Amino acid sequence: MNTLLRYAALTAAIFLILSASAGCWSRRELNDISIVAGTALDKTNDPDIFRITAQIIRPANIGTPGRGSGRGQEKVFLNVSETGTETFEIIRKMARKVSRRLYWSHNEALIIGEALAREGVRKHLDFFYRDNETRLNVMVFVARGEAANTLSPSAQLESIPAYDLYRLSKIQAVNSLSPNVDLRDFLQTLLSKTTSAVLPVIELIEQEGETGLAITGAVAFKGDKIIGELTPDEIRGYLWITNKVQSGIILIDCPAGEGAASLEIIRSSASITPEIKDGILQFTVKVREEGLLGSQNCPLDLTEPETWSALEKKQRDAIYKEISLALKKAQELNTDIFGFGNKVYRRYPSVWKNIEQDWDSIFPGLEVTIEIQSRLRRSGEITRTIVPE
Amino acid sequence: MLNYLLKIGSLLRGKQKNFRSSENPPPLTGKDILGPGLQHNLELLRGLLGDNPDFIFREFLIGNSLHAALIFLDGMADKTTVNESILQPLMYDSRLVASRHSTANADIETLDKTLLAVGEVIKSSHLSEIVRGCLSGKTILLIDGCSQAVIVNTQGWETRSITEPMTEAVVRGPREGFTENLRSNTTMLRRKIKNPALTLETVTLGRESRTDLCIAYIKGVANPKLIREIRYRLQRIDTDAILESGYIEQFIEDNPYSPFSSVGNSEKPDVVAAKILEGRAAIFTDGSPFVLTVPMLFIEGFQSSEDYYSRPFYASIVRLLRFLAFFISTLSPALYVALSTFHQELIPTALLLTMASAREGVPFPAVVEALIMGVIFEILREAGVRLPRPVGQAISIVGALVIGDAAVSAGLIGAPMVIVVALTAIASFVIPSHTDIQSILRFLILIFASVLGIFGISIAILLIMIHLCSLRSFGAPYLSPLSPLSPGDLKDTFIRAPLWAMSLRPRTIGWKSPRRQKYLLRPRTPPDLEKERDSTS
Amino acid sequence: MLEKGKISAVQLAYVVFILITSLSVIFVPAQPAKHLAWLALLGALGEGLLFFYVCTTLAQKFPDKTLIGINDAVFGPLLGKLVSLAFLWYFIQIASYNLRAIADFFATLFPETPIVVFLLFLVLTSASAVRNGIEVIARCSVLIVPLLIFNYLFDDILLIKDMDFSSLLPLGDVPLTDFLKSVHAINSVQYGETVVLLMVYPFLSNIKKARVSVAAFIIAAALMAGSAARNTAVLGSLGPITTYTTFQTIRVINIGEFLTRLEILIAVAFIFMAFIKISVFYYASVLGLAQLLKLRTYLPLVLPSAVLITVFSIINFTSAIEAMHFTSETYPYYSLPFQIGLPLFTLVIAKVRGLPGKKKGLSP
Repeated sequence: MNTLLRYAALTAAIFLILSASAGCWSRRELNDISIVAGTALDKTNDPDIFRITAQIIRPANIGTPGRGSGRGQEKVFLNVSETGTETFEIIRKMARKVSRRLYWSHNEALIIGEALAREGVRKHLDFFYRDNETRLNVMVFVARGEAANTLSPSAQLESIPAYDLYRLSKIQAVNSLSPNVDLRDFLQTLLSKTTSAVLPVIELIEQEGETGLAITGAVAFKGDKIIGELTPDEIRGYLWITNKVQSGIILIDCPAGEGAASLEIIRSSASITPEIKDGILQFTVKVREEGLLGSQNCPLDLTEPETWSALEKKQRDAIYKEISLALKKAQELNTDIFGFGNKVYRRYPSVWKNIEQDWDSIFPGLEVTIEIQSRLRRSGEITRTIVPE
Repeated sequence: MLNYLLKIGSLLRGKQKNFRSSENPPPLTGKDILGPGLQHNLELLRGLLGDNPDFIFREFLIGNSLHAALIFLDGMADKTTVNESILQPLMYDSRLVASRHSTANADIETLDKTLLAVGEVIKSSHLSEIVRGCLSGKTILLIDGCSQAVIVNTQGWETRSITEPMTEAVVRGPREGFTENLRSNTTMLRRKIKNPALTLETVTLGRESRTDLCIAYIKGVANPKLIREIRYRLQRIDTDAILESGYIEQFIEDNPYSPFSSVGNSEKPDVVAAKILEGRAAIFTDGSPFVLTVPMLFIEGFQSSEDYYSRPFYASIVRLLRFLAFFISTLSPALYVALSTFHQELIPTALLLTMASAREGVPFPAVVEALIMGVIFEILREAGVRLPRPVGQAISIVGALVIGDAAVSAGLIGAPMVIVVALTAIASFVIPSHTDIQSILRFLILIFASVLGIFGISIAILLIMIHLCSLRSFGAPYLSPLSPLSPGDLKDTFIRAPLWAMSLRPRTIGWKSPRRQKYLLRPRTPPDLEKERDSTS
Repeated sequence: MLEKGKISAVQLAYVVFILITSLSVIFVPAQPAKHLAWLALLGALGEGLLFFYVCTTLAQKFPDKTLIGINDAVFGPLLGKLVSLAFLWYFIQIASYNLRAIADFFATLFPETPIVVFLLFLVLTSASAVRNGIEVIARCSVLIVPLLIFNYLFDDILLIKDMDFSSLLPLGDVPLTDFLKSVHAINSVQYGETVVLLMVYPFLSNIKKARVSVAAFIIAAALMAGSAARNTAVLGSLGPITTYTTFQTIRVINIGEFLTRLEILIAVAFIFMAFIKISVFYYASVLGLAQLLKLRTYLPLVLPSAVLITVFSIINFTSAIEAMHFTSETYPYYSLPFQIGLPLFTLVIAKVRGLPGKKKGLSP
């Protein structure tokens, strides 16, 4: 009888404790959460207040394929916005308008309004790393105009604009005309005293009477503020130097001047090496590239050996030009977007300790040697173009 | 933790009281014996055996003057033997033999040695033995003037013929299965192992059923301590009846409170023979086609006899598949619940959207859904076993489809849940011997998952692991060869190494005599045959 | 002996492996060393091996005695018991630190759940293992270790494309004192805690093979250093501001949009490792207490110790930040006497007193 009482009492105690704690806290059913697909940060007229717009998915309207997938019917997403002074405060405020708890783990796009980015974006980003739901592989963009607008284009390929944007940004690798920046990279530049980021710019454009999203360029930051915009050539140059070019088209004139040829970039690799010669800091940028003849609209046979080497030289010149444009713009804007300072730190830490504070004055005057090794490997399926002999 | 719960249960049930039914007649002791008079003995026996019409009392004359009587049980004694080998010689041929001696006892000797044309004969005067023999199908021969009875073995009754066992179907391998007859079962075993060292020890258990058991092992390979332990545990059993080997299993197993069984069973002689050859012992039960093998390791549930009859590559793949199926079957519902309720971040976005849209309008939380589906599945499975054959197939397939689809359309259950449960169900049949364990574990892990997601699942797995690690089966650690690790035995765990590589017996079972085959048995073409072939091409 | 089980040297090596790698999955107290954390881990290996050598020498001198018995023999009955009490206090403290660490980690994943729930579940599971004895704990370790090693290697391979090895340079930037501080802090949390095995050595089937665990040390060090290097390469400058570096690093894995969101593997691995570590220290303290009080069995002490450990976990630190601060700043010095001071001292006294005496050929 004694043992019975003892065991019974113990078991009762354990069960009471455990049943009271039976997962009533962190449990969220799938229909208790609203999944945030994309976020937009905007400035308001009030200097202390900024606005966050979250794009929430309506699962009920996704449906099975073939059922209710027509355009213009029920929208699959909902944009909710709120204003306030601090990020987490604003997000919690959104609970006033959304019947389900916001869920951030599937947030894939973070769009910062141009105006907000010009003022400094660092102080709004803490939540996106500190919270346990948010992830580091969010893609970061800058929007021309109001960021909230980019969350509601009327025509897109995917049903949810933010995911569409995520894919759009990944596909830019075929052009290498705009950078692909995720939160991990962006935060690292924000942590660095000298390196700054380059973010892609998106805007809404008109297409057959409807608005769609497009990536139309890039902006350079200094610290956490926008300092200038880059032309496509400069963007490509930046990507060459930082070894982020994956594919793309180099447009060159045909040697006889009667048209142009598109050379496709197959692969490229680049390295930045700092050197100290006679007490002066110098950099060497080495780029290796391989390309092929993609298409041409001039009637010449470009695969003749001499013409081919001329093409290679033109390719090399084009790359050189893009790189030097990028360097010039960066030094003009006085922002180290390539990470030169970082490279000095890695190689000459003692020297870096001395010159770190003066980097702003050193950077614009840096001497950079560009070495390019580029080849044209193949000409595709045909050799001579479609022109009678 | 499990122990607490189980101890509560047993304490609440109260102590089992030993009781004897006062209605049974007092058991026969060894003191009751026959007297010399035939009529007196017949009276005694008629009184004991009651008014049962199936006991046949046949009185006759041996020779010209000797009164004798036969008592046997209609249906259990083989009539042909009784008529031709006992009655005929005694009644006819006895006239040809001169009765030279006067005392009845000497007569019995003469009869036994010259006239009784039956193989097995025992003489006894103890009533208990006589009655027991009669009830087992033996024939009792009583002779006037002799206080001993002759118990002649005439057992022969209808038994099931040897067919393919229903529970262990194989694609390749012998299709014989054990029957309910102890002797034919042991015969089947003897045919596989033609070694005089194969010892069969008989034990009789069960007060009312007097069931014969047989312990089979190979002397010199099996550990004598193991056999001693088996004998000891069997002798401890004092119960009414042993109706099936399952009774024995539950009385001798190491861990009665654990869902994991430490005694294996099989219906096939080749499986049992293989286990005996590895150093185990087998226990045959009269009346049951399931033979127990002892000790049993957890890994044996994943090993099937077919693995050894097919070639190693595919057999290894199938083995790995079994492990995968085991994990799927135990963990799927719990993982689904944990991921969709606590860890939505772990589900890829596209899948999450599909799952979320499927869950719109479903009234129950995911846990309740999983529990309902789990219970329904168990009901369906149990019913499927008992449904009459012609009806069974149709109902199960159509029923499952219709119920599943209707439930989804009605919005009671989400479609992903139906798929998860279906997958679980199919996976659970890959390992038939562990179906019960899988069901229990599945529900346990599901409960834990519903409380704390993946953390709960990990805790549940840890508790199960601790429990498994503490089990022993007749001295062998339950989880060997995994833990304690014996690398040599791993050849037969996750993969099935080729037969020529497995030249040692499993360490914890067969360590008395480790080597079972020659080393270096890998097949290779002999060099002279190669040369010959090359030269002729 | 209160424990009837025996474990083999190989099983002990598995247990050692888990003891060493346990906390490093989430938190390596190498803040001062910054990006040279991996080097600090390798350096700590040296210090750890030294501590291990001292402990095993002491154990081999007294092959049948646990730490309690050794203290009694070396220091005499009264002083020995005091020293043993100090050690038992230390072991319970470590168990509660580890319990708190893992509960804190999970509390970040399940923010609303009170920490008591995690503590209770874990401690009761450990209690169940402790009741079954050291054999079961060792067997569970054997099952868990392959999972861990697979985890480490798998994650390393999947992250190759996200690594930026220049983050590991430069090699000489960290001042030597900071580096050494890191080395010592790492050692006190990872390697030094193997002093608890002084309670377990008597149950080895062959005490002379105890040093086989050195292999576990080396493999563990290699894996941990690899993982620290990987974290630095992937997270770059974000590493020092991250609370749980490995966790965030695994979150980055994204192969073809399919192999993504794998951080749960780390969380599950950590539960298993923490379970073994807590169980070992829990077991050591319960066994020691039973020996001190000359009890027949340690079973009645298990549940009360569970309560004790849980309560300590709660009251030790008021916040996770304080816990981490303690582990990096205070603990290296607090643990010094227990991990090396007392064992070394005991060894010296034993040598001086000529223990164990030469009686009936019992000398090791």
